[in-house]
Amino acid sequence: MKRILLIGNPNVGKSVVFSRLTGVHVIASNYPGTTVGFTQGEMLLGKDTALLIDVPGVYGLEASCKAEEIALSMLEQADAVINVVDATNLERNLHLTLHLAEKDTPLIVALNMWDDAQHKGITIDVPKLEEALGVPVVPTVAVTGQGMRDLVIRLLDVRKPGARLRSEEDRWTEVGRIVSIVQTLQHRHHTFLELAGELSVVPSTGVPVAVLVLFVSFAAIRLVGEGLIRLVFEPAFQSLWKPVLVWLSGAMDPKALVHAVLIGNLIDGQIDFVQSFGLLSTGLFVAIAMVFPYVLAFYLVLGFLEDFGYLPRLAVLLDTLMHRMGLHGWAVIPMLLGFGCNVPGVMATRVLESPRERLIASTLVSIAVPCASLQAMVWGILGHHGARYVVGVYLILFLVWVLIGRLLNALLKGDSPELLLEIPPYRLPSPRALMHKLWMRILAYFKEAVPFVMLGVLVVNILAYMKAFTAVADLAAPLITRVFGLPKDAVLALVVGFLRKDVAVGMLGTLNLTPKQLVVSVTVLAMSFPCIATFVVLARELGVTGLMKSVSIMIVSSLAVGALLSILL
Amino acid sequence: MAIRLPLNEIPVNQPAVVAAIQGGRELHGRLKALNIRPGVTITKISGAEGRGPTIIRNGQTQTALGCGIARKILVDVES
Repeated sequence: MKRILLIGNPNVGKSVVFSRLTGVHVIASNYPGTTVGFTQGEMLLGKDTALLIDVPGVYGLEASCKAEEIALSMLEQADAVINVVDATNLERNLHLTLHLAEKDTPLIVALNMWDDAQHKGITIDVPKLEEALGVPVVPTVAVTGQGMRDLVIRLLDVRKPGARLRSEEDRWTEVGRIVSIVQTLQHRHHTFLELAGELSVVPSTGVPVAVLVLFVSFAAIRLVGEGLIRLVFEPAFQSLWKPVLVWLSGAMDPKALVHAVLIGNLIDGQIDFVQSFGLLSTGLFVAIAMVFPYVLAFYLVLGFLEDFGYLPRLAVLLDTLMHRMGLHGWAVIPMLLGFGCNVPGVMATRVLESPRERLIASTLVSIAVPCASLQAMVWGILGHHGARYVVGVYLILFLVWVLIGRLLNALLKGDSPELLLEIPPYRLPSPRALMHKLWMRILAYFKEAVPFVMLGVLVVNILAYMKAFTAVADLAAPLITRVFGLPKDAVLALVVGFLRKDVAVGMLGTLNLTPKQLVVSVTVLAMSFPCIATFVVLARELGVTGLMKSVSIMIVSSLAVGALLSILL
Repeated sequence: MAIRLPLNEIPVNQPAVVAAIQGGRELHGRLKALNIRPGVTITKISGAEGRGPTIIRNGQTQTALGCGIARKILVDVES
């Protein structure tokens, strides 16, 4: 099978081209570095299938960073290269094109974002560009699919470009020459989006904008999440699902294992979706009616911010703060993704340069960034005692985040690398692309998170039925009661937290804790062990030593913070 | 007459020509890939005093540079 590479600068739309050509769905955003590692899929090329590989974005082929090394080594085994070029930024992009043209691999150029270029008053003479480069050039708009057919048809008969080898300096001169021949710029006024782009990155106006954006995002997530729960999911569970469960419960012996596992305990003879803790009662309710609405709302808002192009600007504004923690502004990406789920958060630490930064960032994500599931449950369990308790938990976690970041920066050898980041223009997100990305993330939640929720509830129920927890609870009781001031039953929740934190908070909800005890236990739960999925990803990204370091920091700091809170509150 | 200054010290909205980059091979490479190299005209859009990052426009692109990098880029500006 032929191997075809998609190569281009960061943030030119390679991932969108990839999903257009293969039908394999990948996540694309309006910022550089969405693709870490590489994705491959099959595409139809004439009558044959070919393997299409989406290479992480590179600016050059000098092997000056990991992504470039990967691109270079893949290039040697490729049968053809599709070079995706941002038509609105021809000068910067063509440097890579010229470099690719010096290699032996057949080359075709996809002149992407063709519509954006036209809106910006940029005209490119395609035949002249083809002549100057000596390779086929096809204008494309990947988000709408325009030009994709042409691209595939012309890909069938690409040839080796055979450009002569140039020095770096000569290549730039040649880029300048080509651009002056093929491109004409129409002078025009700043668009509203360009003006907004500049206002949101200059500190004097950018900081108020950032506060506003974060506040509005949070409010929107609450509004959508809470609204879906109150108007759709809770009524649906109460009026549609409950009768089924009542019938099922009536058909079983309430003391049997099956009943304990599937339905759980009857509270005053009734099934209670929060407290019964059966697989079909609380298990489904937590996963679908309490957590899912927030996951949906979070990814809807995040997707918009990503595709609009806001996040790189936030990174610039937060650069100074992040430096105090040994990171630079771009580390805001793993942090924000972590608020959805820690797993993609930890994976996104690959956008950072050094192992030191990756250790700090992934430790901070797993300690102090509560995922959407955890947050949803905290709101669900603690919210009706008063919003100030929930806000308190966020505040404590934020302080912990800053404190541990600064401590790690002071203790770990090395220094923090500097920010060097291309800031993309604001683009109005295409609704189709937004929905597509949302859909993929929802699927991932149902495939990767929901089974763990169910597994968590199953394990809890079987162990509780066999009274296996009592021994553990007795053993850990001194620690839990003296240090954290919690009843010994809370130990079960803390143990279950390793499997799934939302399930664990659900268990806390059945213990009749005071709001203060809830604040302590929720904070300790959030900070201590990562959930099993995050644990696996941490091990993969940091290696065993890194994982050990990270987990030790989590245990020590959660013990310290828990003890401190139980004294202070 | 042109004077030579580190990028973080020039005023905003003033065009400047990159004169030299005081850094190792790696920094040279990373900046060159972004088309920030001697001879290129850039405009500073934003840059706080002290430790904040500097933002420049070169061609159609905007790039954010950490303070430590901006300090190493020497530019010529018309005084």
